[in-house]
Amino acid sequence: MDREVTSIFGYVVRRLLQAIPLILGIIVINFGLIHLAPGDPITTLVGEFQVSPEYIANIKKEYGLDQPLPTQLLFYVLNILKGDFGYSFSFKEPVLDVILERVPATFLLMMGAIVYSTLCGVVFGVISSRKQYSHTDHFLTLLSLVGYSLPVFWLGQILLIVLSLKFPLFPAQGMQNLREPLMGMGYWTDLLHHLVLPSFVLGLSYLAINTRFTRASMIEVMSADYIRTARAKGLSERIVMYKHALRNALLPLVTLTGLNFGFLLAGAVLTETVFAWPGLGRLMYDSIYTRDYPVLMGMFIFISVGVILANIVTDLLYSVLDPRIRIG
Amino acid sequence: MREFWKKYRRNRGAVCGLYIVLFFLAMALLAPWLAPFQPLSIGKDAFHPPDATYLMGTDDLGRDLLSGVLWGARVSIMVGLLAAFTSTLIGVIVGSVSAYYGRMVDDLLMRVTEFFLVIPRFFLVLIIVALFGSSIWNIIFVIGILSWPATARLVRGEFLSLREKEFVEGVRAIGASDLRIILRHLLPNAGPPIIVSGSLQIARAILMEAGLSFLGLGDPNQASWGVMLYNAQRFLRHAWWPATFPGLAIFFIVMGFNLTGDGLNDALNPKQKGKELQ
Repeated sequence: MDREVTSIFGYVVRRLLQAIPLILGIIVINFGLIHLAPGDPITTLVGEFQVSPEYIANIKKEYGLDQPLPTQLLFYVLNILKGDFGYSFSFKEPVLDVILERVPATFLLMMGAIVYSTLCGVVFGVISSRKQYSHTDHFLTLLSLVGYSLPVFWLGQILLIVLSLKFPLFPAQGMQNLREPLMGMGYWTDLLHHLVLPSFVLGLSYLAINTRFTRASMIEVMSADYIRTARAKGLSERIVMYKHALRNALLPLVTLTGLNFGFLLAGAVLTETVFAWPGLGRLMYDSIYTRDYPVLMGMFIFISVGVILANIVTDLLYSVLDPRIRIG
Repeated sequence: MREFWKKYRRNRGAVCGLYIVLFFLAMALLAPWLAPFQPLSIGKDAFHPPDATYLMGTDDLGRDLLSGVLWGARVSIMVGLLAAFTSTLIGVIVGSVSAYYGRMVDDLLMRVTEFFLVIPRFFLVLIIVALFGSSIWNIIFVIGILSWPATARLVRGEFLSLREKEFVEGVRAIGASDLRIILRHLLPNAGPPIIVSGSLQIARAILMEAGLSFLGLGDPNQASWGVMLYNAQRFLRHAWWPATFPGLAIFFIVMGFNLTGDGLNDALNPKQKGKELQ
């Protein structure tokens, strides 16, 4: 056990070291964009706001804009590594603070989407694979095709029109009822009530992917030798299905969820825009509108690092769940 | 070709998808004759509900939505085709060079490919378009040059297995040049999976343009479905039709290309039937 822990620790360290060049690459892309963008770098570093000449002089000094490019890059990387992502004029706050304030809301939304799309996707996928080529199977296949092709923001708009405006079953905007803020238990049920529609919308395409994936994976696993062995031992079909097949069929789902993390974030941005959910997406939308470039650039770095970390966590989870993957 | 069509026809969904794609293609070509109004010209009648004059109603500026939806097919198909073509071209070049030359070149190119696979593409496209301006050509170009990594990996995989085949050794023994081997012998044999991935790329590019436009980064001078949904968002309480019809169009065209891609996959790569193209 001890040895296993140290080997996992070593693995984590190794993966984190591998992430460093990726993160540096992302910072370099950002730096390149600041200099390639039309207009001068100051506009990109400040955003399209009227600022005092003193402030501009200050920015020039902070980013070493009078130095040669390589030195400027060094200044930029160091600033980012210090956690200084610049200052947002529309929010009158440092960019990093603006971003961090919004993370919990987006995280909540994504968790809601991941949990329901995984649970339902697995159930649908298993049903589909058990009754291959039946009406249920065809129906679920069609459903997942539809879910896969629906633009998430449009689905949000339609559900909002129908379920919030025509038949007010769900709140249309935001994360909580601002008119009569609730406390204690009421706060949480209110939050949950607001969460239902956006997370349903965000999760639908993943529900589709997970259903298709589980179906294919189950069909493949059910024809494996060890399943035949388990059946030959006289185990009941139920036990073979759930104890032997499902476990192995679901392992790759972990990787799939990790790989899709970036797409899920993109979907969250679009969903939040529809429902005025106060997370990163709404922030992105507002920053595009006000041309607050420092926030946009900061978010790109932040989100990229988040995706890289999510990939590491996924691989780690996979290697813990599947003893066949030897790490060390 | 006839055999291919026979195989393709067996998949009802794929045939359906092809019809949808052809329908939108016709719409894009015939938009100037079919559209009753100029798609971007502002009318007096704002938020006119759908009726006999305005089949899909009008938006907040009194623009006819049907005309917008018809012209929007042009924008979406153009974005889809050009972006997918660009990304496939880059992907094929990177993948074939990487596989054919191997060693250092392969290592380097695959590192770069992995890097571009990891970074969240939508957000990179988004900031580039935000900084460089959201003309339709910018959008197409940026989506195109950032969507190649999956194709590069695919082509590399195909080439690696083909490279070892005897016929390649044969033509090399005759003295064929590298370029000739790649273009005349390897590429045609790797064609089917490239075509499949290209058709799925079209669907993704269309969705991405719509998403960017919905966030306010669309080309305001084009009748783009995504831009129409962006405009509709502020008025959802007033009118349901400006959001409904353009979105329906996006949904169907994306489904059409997805179904066609799946159908091509089944017809061209029978071995992979049923497997996900993830």
